[in-house]
Amino acid sequence: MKFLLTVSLLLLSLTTALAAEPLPSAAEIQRLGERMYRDGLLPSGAVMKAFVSDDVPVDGTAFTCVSCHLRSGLGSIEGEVVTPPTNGRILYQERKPYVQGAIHVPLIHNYAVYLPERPAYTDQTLAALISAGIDPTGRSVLKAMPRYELDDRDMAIMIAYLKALSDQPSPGVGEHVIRFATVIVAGTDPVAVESMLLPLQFSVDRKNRLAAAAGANPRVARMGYNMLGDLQSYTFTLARWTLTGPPEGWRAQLDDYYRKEPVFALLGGISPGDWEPVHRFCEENRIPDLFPVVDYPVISDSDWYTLYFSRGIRQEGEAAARYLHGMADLIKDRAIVQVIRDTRRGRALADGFRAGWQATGHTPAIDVLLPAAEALTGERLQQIVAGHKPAVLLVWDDAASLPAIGALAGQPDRPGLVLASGNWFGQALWTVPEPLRELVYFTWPWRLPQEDARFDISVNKIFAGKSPAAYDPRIVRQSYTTGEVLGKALMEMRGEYHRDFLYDTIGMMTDMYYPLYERVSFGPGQRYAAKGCFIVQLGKGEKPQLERRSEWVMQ
Amino acid sequence: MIIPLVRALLLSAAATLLLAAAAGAAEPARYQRTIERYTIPDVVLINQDGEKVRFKTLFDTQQPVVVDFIYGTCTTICPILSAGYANLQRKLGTDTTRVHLVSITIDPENDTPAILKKYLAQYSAKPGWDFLTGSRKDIDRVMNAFDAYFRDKMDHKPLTFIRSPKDGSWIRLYGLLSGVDFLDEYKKAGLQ
Amino acid sequence: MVVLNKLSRTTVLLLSLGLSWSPAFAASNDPAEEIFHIVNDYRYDPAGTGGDPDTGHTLCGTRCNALSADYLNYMEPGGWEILKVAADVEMTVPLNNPFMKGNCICIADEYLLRIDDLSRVHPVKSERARERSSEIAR
Ligand code: HEC
Repeated sequence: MKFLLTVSLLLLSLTTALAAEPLPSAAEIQRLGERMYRDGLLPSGAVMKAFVSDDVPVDGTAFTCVSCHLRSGLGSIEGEVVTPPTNGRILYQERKPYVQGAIHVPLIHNYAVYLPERPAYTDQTLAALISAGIDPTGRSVLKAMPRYELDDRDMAIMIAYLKALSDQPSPGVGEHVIRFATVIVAGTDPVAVESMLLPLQFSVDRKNRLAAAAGANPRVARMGYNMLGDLQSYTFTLARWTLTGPPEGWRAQLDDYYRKEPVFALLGGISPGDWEPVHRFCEENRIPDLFPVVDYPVISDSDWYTLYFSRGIRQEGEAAARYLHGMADLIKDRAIVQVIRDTRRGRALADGFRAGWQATGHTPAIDVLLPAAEALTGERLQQIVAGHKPAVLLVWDDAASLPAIGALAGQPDRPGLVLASGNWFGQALWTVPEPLRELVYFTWPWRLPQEDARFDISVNKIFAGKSPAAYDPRIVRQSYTTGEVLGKALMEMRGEYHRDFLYDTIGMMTDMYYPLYERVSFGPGQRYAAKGCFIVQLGKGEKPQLERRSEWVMQ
Repeated sequence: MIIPLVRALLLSAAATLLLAAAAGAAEPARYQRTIERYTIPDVVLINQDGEKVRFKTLFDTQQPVVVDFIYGTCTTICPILSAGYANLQRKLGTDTTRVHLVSITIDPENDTPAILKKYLAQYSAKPGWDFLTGSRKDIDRVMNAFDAYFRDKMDHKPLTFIRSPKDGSWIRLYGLLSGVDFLDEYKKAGLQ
Repeated sequence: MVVLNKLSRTTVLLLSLGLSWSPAFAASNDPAEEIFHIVNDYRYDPAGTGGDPDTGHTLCGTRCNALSADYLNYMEPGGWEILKVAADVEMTVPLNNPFMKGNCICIADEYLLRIDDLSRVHPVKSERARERSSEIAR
């Protein structure tokens, strides 16, 4: 009863206040509202204050609306707590009783399965919910929803922000079509380009065939609806945006493509080198890009719109650092030397190692740079070893360095172990001669080949009669994952095609086991899906296999 | 399709528990409480400073130890559990190290020491609150030892464990506790 | 396409939206049977070499965990069956570290992986299998 009294008093004061205060401009509301919603800061710049679980005070800087309702405001399900949508469009609608038997249909309203009915909110009842946790039926909602201390004006801004949140469908979403594009940097190896495109086009075609079948056959349409909800009737399009010339000129080309055909998201994309201009374009226009095929992704812990397969080449260097961290006590004061081929790849590996090694507080490794065109001779390598007597030698170079490494094997002051990039060595990894196999360790940023073979069945369907030999198997596997993740995400989006919700949805997905990577793993705001890299050695015998010396992810 | 379905079914049972608390006029208990004994696995984890921690040794102490399972980018449950830790530290006053609060990540894939450190700072954690990561296998072992294995981090449950220094038994709390309840449980485990 | 007789065409169409559906044939150069391990515990044995027990314990963690499979990698492609063949087997392996000698004793459950029915690779089965096998991880 005390609650009801509080609520009515509150409503009284709000009715007058909300009416009296003039609100700032729409752009200002967007900015100030977003700051409360995402950063937990009031329009004044002060920290938002709330109580959660009854009596536990919490600052907006520890967590705020976005931490539970997510960026799109369309809610989340985590563990056992269902956080309902908090955008105006849904709040200002009645929550109808849940229709038994419809749990299978992926509609946004299905979150109501877990929550009681309620009438539509009004500005007043919504203010009561945010400040006192009382919903329009008078129910005191779960204590997981914090009760916020907001003055009337701030409350009005918050409410106006919620009304605009995920209000309109994102660009690129038509009544029955969702448009996508992929970006191809001219000059990329055509085999790589085709390998990236094949699985994407396969997913798109398959979806469109289903839409056509559903249009022609009511039985298919009904079953399709039960599984996919509204998605079943949508068709997809996939445009190819080719970028030419130097990276400085790409932005204008992207803007132009986008003006002509706004797309909901980019799928894949491929470049032999730079990607940053595309990354920036996506960031500034808030366009998702799912999994471009690039070796040098932009590394950021706050950028939002590009989802990468991994941290790229540097991830191997980081894995090497984590592996050595485990034996740091044994290395003690002895040196670690990085022999770095002075190319983008060599430097990326070395950067990854350096960052990882220094993050754990170790003495930096000694870097020896090899000019891009100079061969690494056995003599040169022995000179380096004799000069620094390293406990560990990292050779960030291609397989042409193998004979030089081989020449170390017999030396008395040879390093305890040599680490190289299995990715960079390529097929030559299998030619490491037996006596060297004990000395040399490799980074291996994928599932072991003998274990990945089980996934062939899934991938093979994509070739549909074409010869797999004409494609790059790794890129096909990567792009296959893109198609799978997209399909799964769109289904889970239950008819709400908002770009931020696409990422919110992917962020809530459980770990996935697809071809190529040991595991792809998501989480709210996480942007590098495959987080691991094995350290391996080549086993004994004539037909050796790779043997793991580490887990997929080590900390 | 199937995955959300199975999750949905699992959820409906759990949601009933949580909703009962919200709806019931008689204010039923908002959390479940049991007393348990656990065998702590001998694994080496890494804390927010990148230091190796032999997990077992954390419990060779006459102080109460509290354990929970969270992760850096988690929504809803973790923020609330962590707000509870922060609140307890506030109640402890100047000597926050009287109690050892231990958070263990269930997302070792993503949670590097740097992420753990940032997370603690976000909650203004004081000395006495450590956040641990490690290899996935080792973290699985720890979760299993506490009978808190989550097949996936998205199937996460709100669990808090308080170890009594008196006899090494554990109070297992399932649900989201108020500040008063937490302090109360905490006193039962031996805090003065 | 044998499987089309078992499942209705409609179901096939629906399942093939790009959601882990795989067609009904086996690429059969895969080994039919395989043994894998899930490691539950580990110990360092200096074997008289005087290796530091703490460091040894850490390194044996890495060494033994590397031998441990993530069972979902075996379940997820679907079509394979996992049978537990032994529990808590002690496997002794050399520490395999250039700076320290000794052995690791990895205590593991042993599983046999074998082809169940590759024509039944589809998401429903895979998910059920995943449910059934979730205790494997314990
Ligand atoms: C710690 C997680 C959390 C945070 C932070 C949070 N919420 Fe909530 N919110 C919830 C949960 C859980 C519910 C569902 C409660 C119930 O219905 O019992 C909810 C319910 C709501 C509802 C009612 C929805 C309905 O359909 O009745 C609104 C509106 C809302 N929150 C807005 C906000 C706003 C605005 C903020 C930030 C100022 C915020 N929430 C912060 C968890 C959170």
